[in-house]
Amino acid sequence: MGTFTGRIVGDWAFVWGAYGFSVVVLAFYALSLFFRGRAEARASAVAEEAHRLEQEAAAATAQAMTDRTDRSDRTDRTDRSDPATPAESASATPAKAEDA
Amino acid sequence: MTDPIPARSFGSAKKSRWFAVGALVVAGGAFALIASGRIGNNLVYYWGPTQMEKAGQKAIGATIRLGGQVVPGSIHQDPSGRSLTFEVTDRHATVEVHSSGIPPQMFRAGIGVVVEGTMTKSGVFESNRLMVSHGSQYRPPKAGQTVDVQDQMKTTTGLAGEKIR
Amino acid sequence: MPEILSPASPSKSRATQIGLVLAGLGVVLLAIGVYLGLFVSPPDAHMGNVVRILYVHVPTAVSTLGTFTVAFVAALGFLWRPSWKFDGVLEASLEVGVLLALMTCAQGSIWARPTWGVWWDWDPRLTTTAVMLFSFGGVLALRYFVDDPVRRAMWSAVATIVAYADVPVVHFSVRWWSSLHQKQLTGTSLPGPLKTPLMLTFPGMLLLVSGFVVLRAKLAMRRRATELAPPPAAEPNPVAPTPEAVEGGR
Repeated sequence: MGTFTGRIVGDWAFVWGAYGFSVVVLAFYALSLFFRGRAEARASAVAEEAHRLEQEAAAATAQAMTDRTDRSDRTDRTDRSDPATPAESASATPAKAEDA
Repeated sequence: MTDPIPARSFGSAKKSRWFAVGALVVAGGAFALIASGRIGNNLVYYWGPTQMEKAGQKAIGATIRLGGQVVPGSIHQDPSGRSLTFEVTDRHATVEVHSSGIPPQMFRAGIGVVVEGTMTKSGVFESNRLMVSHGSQYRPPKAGQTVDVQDQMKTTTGLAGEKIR
Repeated sequence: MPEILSPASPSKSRATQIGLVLAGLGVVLLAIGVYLGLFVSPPDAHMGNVVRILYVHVPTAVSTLGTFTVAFVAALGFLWRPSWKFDGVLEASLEVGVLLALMTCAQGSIWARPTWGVWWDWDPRLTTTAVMLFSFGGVLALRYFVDDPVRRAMWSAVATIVAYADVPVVHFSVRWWSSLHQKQLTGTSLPGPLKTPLMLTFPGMLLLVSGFVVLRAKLAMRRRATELAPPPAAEPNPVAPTPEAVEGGR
């Protein structure tokens, strides 16, 4: 019969190790969720803003084209000899269309 | 941000349901195979003293694990403190173990152990890795507690009872 | 323009609010439970203070199996009725589950060293847990390697269902086979003072983990939205008539 008491002593290091590891991992995960969420929010906000600007530009172009169409319906066909190229007319602003 | 996710075709729902059925069949089959013991019987983690005795000559030489309870009163430590001998039992058979190294702090008479090593011709199990098993029973220490073998036995019933089957 | 760079909506979405509340409640319960477990509850007669690891190891281990079960249900749900919501939950529970499985192994290892005398051994419970960690880790890796969102969702759902076969095996491993690991706790395993901390850390961990899954699923949904959105420059607004359409119509 030896001197084996079967009792663990000097054990707090293991306890702190297990708890410390768990807390650090969980905290890091919470932080990573926060930062990834923020990065994603920024990315989609930028994408949304770009999309909005694009739509605005497209709407403006469409408006210009509509104005031009209205005018050409009203005016004489000789207007067609106007030297404006299609590329120019596509980029025409409403103000330009009214000038003509 | 609150934009709905743009629609994107997932293909035919029927096809993906067949995927679900197929995956379930594979998973269920694997689980059934393990649960039915076809694979499980080959996954023996340790032998009990009874199995060790039955195996006889076949147990000699190979690296195996032996599990059971330390017989109270059988522990003898080498004067140098580098090795110890004790007996492991499953209440039907007993095997003498010679273990090198310092045992874990939980090691004591009556506790469950798993030892890894080889059976020698002399019938002594030569071990170089001694692991202590703890049952799922926990108790706070009693006031002025002394080492009570009966109390210790309670913590190891999980391991000792298991092996006999 | 500078406000583009700040989070778009100051008011958080409903899912985010729910996730934060769940995680917050979990942290409160965990904090009280850990305090009781570390400083108030008595040590074990033989295991000494090391028994305190139980209050964090058992909830983590059960949460791992629970989270993978959520992944399994989400995978089945996705294949039965494909939707990005199921895929988002699948992505979230896979990631959180793998993290928890890793934590379970580390805590168990730290607990094993003083009690069993070894950091690790190939006992049935430990082996099946390692298999679980690596198979779901593989499914998670699969998601990172597949670029097409639809294929990624389909394949990872199928892989999740197959990998789940091991989860009940982990649960039953200590009953089916002789092992070094102790069996599941029963009603009589822990007397009163040793049980109280677990009664707090257990629901606390489950709440924190569900909060994580909800928040991570929300992130997955946002990512899918940007991932699947058509690039604004490449696709003209269908509402605005193109110059060609106007010219042709004249």
